[in-house]
Amino acid sequence: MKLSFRKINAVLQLRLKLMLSNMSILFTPIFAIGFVIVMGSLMPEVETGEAGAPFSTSGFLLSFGLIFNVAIAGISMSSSPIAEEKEKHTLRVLMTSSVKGGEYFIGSMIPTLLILITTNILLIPASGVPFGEIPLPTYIVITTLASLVSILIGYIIGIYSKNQAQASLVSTPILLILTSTPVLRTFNENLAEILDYTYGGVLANLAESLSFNNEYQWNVTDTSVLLGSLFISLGIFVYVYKKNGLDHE
Amino acid sequence: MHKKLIQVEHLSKKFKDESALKNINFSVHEGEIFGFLGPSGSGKTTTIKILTGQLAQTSGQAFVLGNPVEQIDESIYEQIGIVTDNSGLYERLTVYNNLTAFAKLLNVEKERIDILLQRVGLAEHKNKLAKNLSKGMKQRLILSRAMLHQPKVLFLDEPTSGLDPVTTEAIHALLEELKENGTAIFLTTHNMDEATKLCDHVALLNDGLIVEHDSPKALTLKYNLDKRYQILLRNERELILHHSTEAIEQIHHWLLNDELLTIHSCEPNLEKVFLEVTGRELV
Repeated sequence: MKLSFRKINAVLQLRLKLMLSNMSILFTPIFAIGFVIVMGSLMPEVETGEAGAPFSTSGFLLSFGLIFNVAIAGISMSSSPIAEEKEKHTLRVLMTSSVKGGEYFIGSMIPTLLILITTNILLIPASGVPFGEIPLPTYIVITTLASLVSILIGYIIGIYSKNQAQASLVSTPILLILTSTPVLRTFNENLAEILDYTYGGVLANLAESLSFNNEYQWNVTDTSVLLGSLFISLGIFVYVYKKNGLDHE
Repeated sequence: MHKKLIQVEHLSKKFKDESALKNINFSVHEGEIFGFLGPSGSGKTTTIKILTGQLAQTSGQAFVLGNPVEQIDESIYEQIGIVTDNSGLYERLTVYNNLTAFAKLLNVEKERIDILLQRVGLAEHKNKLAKNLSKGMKQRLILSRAMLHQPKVLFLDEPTSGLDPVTTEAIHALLEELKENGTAIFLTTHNMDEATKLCDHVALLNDGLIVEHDSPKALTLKYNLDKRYQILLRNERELILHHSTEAIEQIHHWLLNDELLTIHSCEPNLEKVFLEVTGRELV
């Protein structure tokens, strides 16, 4: 499939204008940063091991903000615009104005991904974790791959949904599972083992190591799980897109 | 000889057991405005959706710009324009930004946007958000967007519905201009005056079946069954005469004595033709 850079750029600019005209779509990433800052000022600053604390305050806040941003913002920022375009009948106009599905998805994905990456980085100073304590390249690679998986999940929901209400309804249980991954892992060891094989589990692993002030170590499992999640979500996305189209009669 | 830009052969569409289109045939040539007339639910929008690759036919064949409609892709979409009742606008964007987005997609110079906005009377409203436009203004914006790239084929589903006469006139002038430049226009309308004024050929659609197909003039003449003449004499007397030897002699007499002021043939309009053919009103 040959894609046109001009059309990708046109979709990207359209998407940016739409984002600027509706700042509510930026609520989740802004909320993630705001929440981390507010909670940081309210919670007592403790280091790992200090007063029996199993994790540091800043590490905990970073892990919370990270999962909030990657899972909730990633999925809602990609599912909601597709559902809105279907509801307002603009997606069909785009499709019948010579835009290919691939051009639409790439053009729409770029601003969302950039916002997610920027938020993931801003969460580091917001949480109070010194940049020196973060393996930055590893952090960026893992959070970016996880953000991409979230965006693809959002696209799958967007393709499946007929309108924004349906997109929210379908997203809710998925978001609930993803955001509860760190907590669910503490309940049951067997469940924790299973969750380690999800991209949310990998994110939780990274966040956990930051919470405990441990150095995160790249490992085959996390790498395979992340890449596996990316390919599986991409596969499902392609299947759902081919089966349903973007906005099919 | 003008090229056939739309060709439809034995096209049928069924939704479950219900036939929406029954074996329809027609063609639209370069520089022709083709009117598709029929009451609501007669299959007009279904035809547009099939011809624009948005819906698959059950049987038969249709070609747009020489390509089977099943194979319509981006290269064809770059050469056609579509306006249907489902053509949405980006309501949170301004009039101008709604058009610039598509100008970039379709590789159209920005100067064309200003020209079009001027033509459809939206130039003063270019910085207004689309959500703040009236229904008529939104329709004009949708039309401008479809005409932005000067398409070879333009599909219009009730394009002037709800528009004031001045804007309708401006739209008609634009359509005439597109036609002069070789665009084939496929137009569905309820407005019989519009069809008579604009269309080179019309097809009358009833329950998914084309019941008549010709130029508006030919159709009205064909169904001028009780030939009548409307006469106005110099003494301000108005009368209707049915075609007969006596009537011709009478008219001849008035002409010789310079008593005749006006004479018109009373052929039916398209609405009456439709009623005559189907027994149904065109609503």
